[in-house]
Amino acid sequence: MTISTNHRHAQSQDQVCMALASSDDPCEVVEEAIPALVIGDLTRPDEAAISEHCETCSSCADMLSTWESGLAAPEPPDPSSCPTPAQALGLRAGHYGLMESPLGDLMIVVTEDGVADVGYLANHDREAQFCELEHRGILASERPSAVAPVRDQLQEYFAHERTNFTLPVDLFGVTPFTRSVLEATVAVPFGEVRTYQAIAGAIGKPTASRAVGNALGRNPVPVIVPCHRVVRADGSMGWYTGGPHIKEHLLEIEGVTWAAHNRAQPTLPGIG
Amino acid sequence: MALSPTRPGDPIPATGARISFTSLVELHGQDLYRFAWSLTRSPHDADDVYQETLLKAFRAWSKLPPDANHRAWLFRIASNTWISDRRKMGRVHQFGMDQPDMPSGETDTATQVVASETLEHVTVAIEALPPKQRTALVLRKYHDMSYEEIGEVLDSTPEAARANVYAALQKLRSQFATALVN
Repeated sequence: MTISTNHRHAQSQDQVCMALASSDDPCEVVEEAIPALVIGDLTRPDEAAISEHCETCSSCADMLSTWESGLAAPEPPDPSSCPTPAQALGLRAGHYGLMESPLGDLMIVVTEDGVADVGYLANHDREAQFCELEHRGILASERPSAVAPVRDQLQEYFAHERTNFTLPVDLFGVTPFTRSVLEATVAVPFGEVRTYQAIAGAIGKPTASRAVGNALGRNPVPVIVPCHRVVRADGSMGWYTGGPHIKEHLLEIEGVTWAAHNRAQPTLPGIG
Repeated sequence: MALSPTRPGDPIPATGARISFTSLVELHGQDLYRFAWSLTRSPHDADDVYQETLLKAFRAWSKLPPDANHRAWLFRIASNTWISDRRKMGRVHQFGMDQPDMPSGETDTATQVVASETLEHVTVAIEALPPKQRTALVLRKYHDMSYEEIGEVLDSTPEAARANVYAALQKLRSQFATALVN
């Protein structure tokens, strides 16, 4: 006896039912159909017909039971023994979570070393941010609880209840020049601004103000690393990854205001 | 604060769009590990196949056409990795019709066959299936894949995928029959 392979139309034809109706040996029909049953290739009426037959036929019931046991899914190992994708790839593991903010939705990524990324979802979709993280050698998985401390401090900042962040920052995968620019930027206090040129001077490269601007444009941790506090020497705000309206909003939170009628001439306390 | 799934970046399509490797792994990583486990039935070998598959996929990800079936592509890498690893380990003799460890109808002591032995025989029989047949059976039975998708994994037509599944069942049938006749 061979297993029928002509079940390809089984979903529209109840072949077992039809065969049972015309056969003198129902066991032969059922035995032949059981393998197709256990891999899910039969129609519901066919499945029901086999079940009904097996209720009164112990040998067919035994055969069905043996097939089902024999093809039962192997018990998987303890899931915790499975290497994480980041481990498998030799990448740094991160966890991400989302939050709503006055600046729009944010995606926060943390590693065991600190905050690795804060992304404006209004400007970059999540996939683009994941790709940037992969480029830095970080593979993130969703775990909202892991980003809770970051989310809490950001919420306090947006609510004017916090003036500095007490969070470690992970600049893994960031180039050394950009890292030096970001480290100098972290030193700019709340409510003050510095020029690109001043940051360039602070890192010992006074002529590199344009490169400083580019580096700040690649700041993976905006708000927490306050690139919004770096402005042009002519007093205008300069470019910002999330858009100039976000930079203005952040500076307003910190009490730095731009006159509505002349955004190129802001009131700049502590410009350096 | 939970965001609705209709926010930017969601939903992540399974095919038809360029997604990050991060999302690919998030979507299919667990399924891939389960597949590696189903094929190898060994935690150590499953880890090896899983890790090797991820590494190969990570390197090749940017070259994959956006409209490819991501899951089938990952599973194809895993299946090929598993077959290749087995060959390297010298287990190739277990493939095909040459199955020296298989019990046969002639040599079995009929009345001594019990249910647990039957299952053992079936496990041996599954492990001795030719790789394409075993892969096809695993995908159909444990991953509920359509024959179209199994064909994508095996790089064959849906008809060939179905033929592989039924050839596997035919081989297993002889094992069940041996036990049940007794």
